[in-house]
Amino acid sequence: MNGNTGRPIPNVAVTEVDDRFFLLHPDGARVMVLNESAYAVWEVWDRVTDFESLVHGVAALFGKAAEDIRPDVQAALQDFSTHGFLQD
Amino acid sequence: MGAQAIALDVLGLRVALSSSTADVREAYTALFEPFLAVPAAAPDVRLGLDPVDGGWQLWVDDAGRGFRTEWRELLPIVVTEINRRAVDQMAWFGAHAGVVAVGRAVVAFPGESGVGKSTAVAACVAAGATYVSDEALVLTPEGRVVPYPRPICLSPGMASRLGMTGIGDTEEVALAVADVPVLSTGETASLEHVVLLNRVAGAAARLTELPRADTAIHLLRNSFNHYRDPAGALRVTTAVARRARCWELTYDGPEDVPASVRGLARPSMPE
Repeated sequence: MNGNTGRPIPNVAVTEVDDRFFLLHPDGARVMVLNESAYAVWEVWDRVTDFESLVHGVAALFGKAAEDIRPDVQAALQDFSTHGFLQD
Repeated sequence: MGAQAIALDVLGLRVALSSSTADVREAYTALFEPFLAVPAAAPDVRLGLDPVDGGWQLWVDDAGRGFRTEWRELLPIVVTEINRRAVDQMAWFGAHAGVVAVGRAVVAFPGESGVGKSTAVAACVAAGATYVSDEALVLTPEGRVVPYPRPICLSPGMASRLGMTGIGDTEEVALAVADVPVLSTGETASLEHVVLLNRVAGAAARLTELPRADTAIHLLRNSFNHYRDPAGALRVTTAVARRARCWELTYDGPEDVPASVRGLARPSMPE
């Protein structure tokens, strides 16, 4: 992946309720609700600049092998993109 | 209008209802009793029902809005018109939901039109619950429930099934709430439970607890004004979600709902 993967958009408000994370798009119209692992992808992607660093960063958080979580990370990024939470 | 007008304050909307006929004014008073207010010098909206040309004309701010042979048939339109304007202009967060209180516990049934909110509320009220709203869960910025006890609107068949009588036509009747316990419009209350209605023919009534976060998800999904202040809407719904418990109620008929709701409220209230 990742030449086409966008970066997290700025000014996203985040609120947590019982391990679910609510991301409010700055346009006010879109909300994503993430579980803990999807939110970890969001958080780490905000700090690193390439996909491999993202995969390894998330893997380290959960004590998993990078290869095991790569598809889930990719799917999470796709989901962020679909909902307009990434930008070029 | 003048002396024949009845003044209401509905979620801050100042309404003047008028009619030249005493029976109509009495019906207004019965339907909108919780909202009766001191007349405003300049109401936000004026509605009137008067006999004309062998029938009855409903007008809103001097424009004709409906004509029927019986004035009772126009009352559901009056309720709808006031509701639309009141929720459009109110300053608080609002979501489509039926709301009742059992003891100190406020229970909300969020959902789209047709999911059974009004019927569930009417069944609970018929069984002794305190009426809060059959239309909207209204929340202050602090997450407190603001009562919105508009007339309960049901199909005539369902009203009859629940042993209630209303005023309306063959499609919808408005039930006066003057004779049932109503959470006072001057108070606020704490939302304790959010119940998602899942009516399944033949099912035994069953409550299944859901993650608390589902409260915020369903309140945002059913909100009609979150777009005005999205951050505020997220703040208030997640604040509520942190303390309210969320349930799915699978049930067969409206008569199943009150017992389930009482079961939720029992730990925090004496019978």
